[in-house]
Amino acid sequence: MKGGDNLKKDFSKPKSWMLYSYLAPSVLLFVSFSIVPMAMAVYYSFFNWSGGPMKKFVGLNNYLLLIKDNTFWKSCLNNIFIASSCVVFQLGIAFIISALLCSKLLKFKEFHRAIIFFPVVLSAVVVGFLFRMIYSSDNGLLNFFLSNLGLSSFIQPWLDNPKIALIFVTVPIVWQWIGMYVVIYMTSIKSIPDEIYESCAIDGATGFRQAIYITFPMIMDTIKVSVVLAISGSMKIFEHIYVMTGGGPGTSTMVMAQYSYKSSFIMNKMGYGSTIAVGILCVSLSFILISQLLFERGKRRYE
Amino acid sequence: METFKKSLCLAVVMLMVISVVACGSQPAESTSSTVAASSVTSSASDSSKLEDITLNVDFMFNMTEGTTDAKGIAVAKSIERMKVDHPNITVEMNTVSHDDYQTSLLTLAASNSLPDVFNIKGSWLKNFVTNKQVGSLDEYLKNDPDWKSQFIPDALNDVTYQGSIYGAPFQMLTCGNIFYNKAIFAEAGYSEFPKTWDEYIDCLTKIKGLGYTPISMGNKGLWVANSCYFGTLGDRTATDSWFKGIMANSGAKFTDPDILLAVEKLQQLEKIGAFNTDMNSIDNAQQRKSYYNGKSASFFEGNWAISDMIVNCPKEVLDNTEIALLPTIPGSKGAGDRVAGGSAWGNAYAASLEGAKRDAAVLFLKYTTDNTYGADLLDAGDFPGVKVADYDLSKLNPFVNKYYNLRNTWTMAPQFDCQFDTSVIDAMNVGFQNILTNQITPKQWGESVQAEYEKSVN
Repeated sequence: MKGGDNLKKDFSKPKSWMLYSYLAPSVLLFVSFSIVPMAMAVYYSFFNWSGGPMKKFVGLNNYLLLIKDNTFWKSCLNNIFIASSCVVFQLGIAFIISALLCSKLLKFKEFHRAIIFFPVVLSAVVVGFLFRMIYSSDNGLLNFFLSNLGLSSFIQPWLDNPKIALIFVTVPIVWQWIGMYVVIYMTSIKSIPDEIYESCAIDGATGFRQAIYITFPMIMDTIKVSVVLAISGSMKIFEHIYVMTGGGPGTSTMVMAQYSYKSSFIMNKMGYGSTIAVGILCVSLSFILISQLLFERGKRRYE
Repeated sequence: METFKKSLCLAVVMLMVISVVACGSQPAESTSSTVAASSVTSSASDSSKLEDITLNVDFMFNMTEGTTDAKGIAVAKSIERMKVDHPNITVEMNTVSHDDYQTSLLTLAASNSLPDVFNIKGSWLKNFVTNKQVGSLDEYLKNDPDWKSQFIPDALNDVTYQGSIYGAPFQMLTCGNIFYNKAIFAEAGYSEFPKTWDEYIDCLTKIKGLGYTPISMGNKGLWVANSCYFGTLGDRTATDSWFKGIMANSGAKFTDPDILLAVEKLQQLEKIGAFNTDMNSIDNAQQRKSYYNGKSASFFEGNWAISDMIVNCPKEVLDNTEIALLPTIPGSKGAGDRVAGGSAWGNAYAASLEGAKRDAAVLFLKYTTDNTYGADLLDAGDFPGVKVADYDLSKLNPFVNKYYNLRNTWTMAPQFDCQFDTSVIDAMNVGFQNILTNQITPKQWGESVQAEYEKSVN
């Protein structure tokens, strides 16, 4: 019967050409703006190219130079510092804030969430300029507060002293993205079933212990993903540094992306700049791999 | 309700698509409009019909209303003049700030979409000429000897590469001018500017003791230490012969003791506390502010600062401002009346231009570098690359006049950061920041720059 045939059609399984055509635009955009430039960077890294129509093939020479390049490894260390600060402080503070935001005592949750998320929406250049003004010697907010609180002895050239410049350049980077992780964690925490909390409350664990022993392990997968995001984001960091210090003084705040930009546009060595970009890719991948392995080991020990 | 939801979804999707397309078609902030494909029909034989030519120009001069940038004012006047004489040529001007100009232009060069006319720095000539991206002016200068003879001879040095001229100089700079407040110097016991290095160090120490910042420095752009200090210091200690040796790759090195002495002297200034503590986070425009409000006793900058000083410097400070050069260094041969200077930049045209469009571009170069432009520039307080004939010097602002008279007593020394290879210049600049924060010794500076130099000559 006709009705029976209609019932047999399985509408939950779409035709495959429909699937592919829905995915096609996104895949196309991703390939053309992420994969193709990456492949081109690998291609250009084999040449000495100063930006014009003439390229000179040099094979792996650029890579050999890269391995011996002190500035590159110094920038790599700076990136590692920024990445570790991001993982520890961004994720740590975001976890604390989201645990607080999910507690029953807090009112106006949406308002708090919106305000905390707001810096994420700002452009990195804006954040960089903002903090540059805050750190400014004569007119900056930071020095203004310190001198009014009677703590003038703490005043120093925040972005000028090569020993501490990196720390103060990391502050806006950490600050800007906390909101994003708060939102991610809140969603994750909400999905933890209430029964678990109720049963642990019966057992006598509340507040702080609850957060460490219940919440934290239950959202471990989300934390794993956010570690990957934090590391990969801080490996590519560029705008904040460019706007605040330009990599200086000297090379104390140089990061790999900034070094690649400098080689390409200031030293006119675009082939070498591409080599550095490939270097960033390799370094980031290895760090993410290491972090994932550490998680696996931790998980096994936990189970 | 279902159809309403569906149409709402459709509307949102259309909005997203349209905004992506619209954003894509808007020109991004500081890239020039794409080079107009040559719309010139080649009717070379028909000279009575003038075709409409549009020139895309990228300059780094501030041309907004009320600017103090003298070159912006003078170029605007040149464009108006050319419009009257040649109504068929339209100029589409795009301005990018000086510190971003290098990135902007080199990006355009790398993607083969250079504007028709642009500013070119002497140190970029090697790259642009090797890549055949900039056009030569030799033919045009030969055919128009009047234009060529208007230029100050030294001005052509920075725009010449391997014997050919690629840019028309629009300015004549002296980079190592010391603008100092004679009242503060007198307070420290120096009624005249110190004549020897030891006197200078003593003077700066005394000024610091009085509570002023002896020298206001803004090295965020990285080039100030090189251009305004080292160019002249290096000439004092190592002289012209070292410079020529580097350019000819005939044995001079960045680790030679003479040039390292200059680096040592620069570091000495930092060691006695002559500079402000935030020197690496403010730029050359901001360094003037602390001088204008009387907190610092002097600053080093090129003569381009003068057009800002005559507008923004308070009268009490400007009346007390004198101009001097670095004193001589004991034991070194460099004369005390030499200052790093030259044209540094030139106006150039893209090598890809042909026919009538190329002629129009060179015509524009003439209008922006000739005698009338020079006079306009002097009126606004800056210094052209042409010897401005028949200019009534009494028209000049007294401060400008003071500088102009002094300049005529000085000799030009070469500007390192307009002649050396760009990667060498960058290594010098990063090295200077390290020197000025006491991170490295002069010897280490020499070694890092020499390594970069050796890479660049191979």
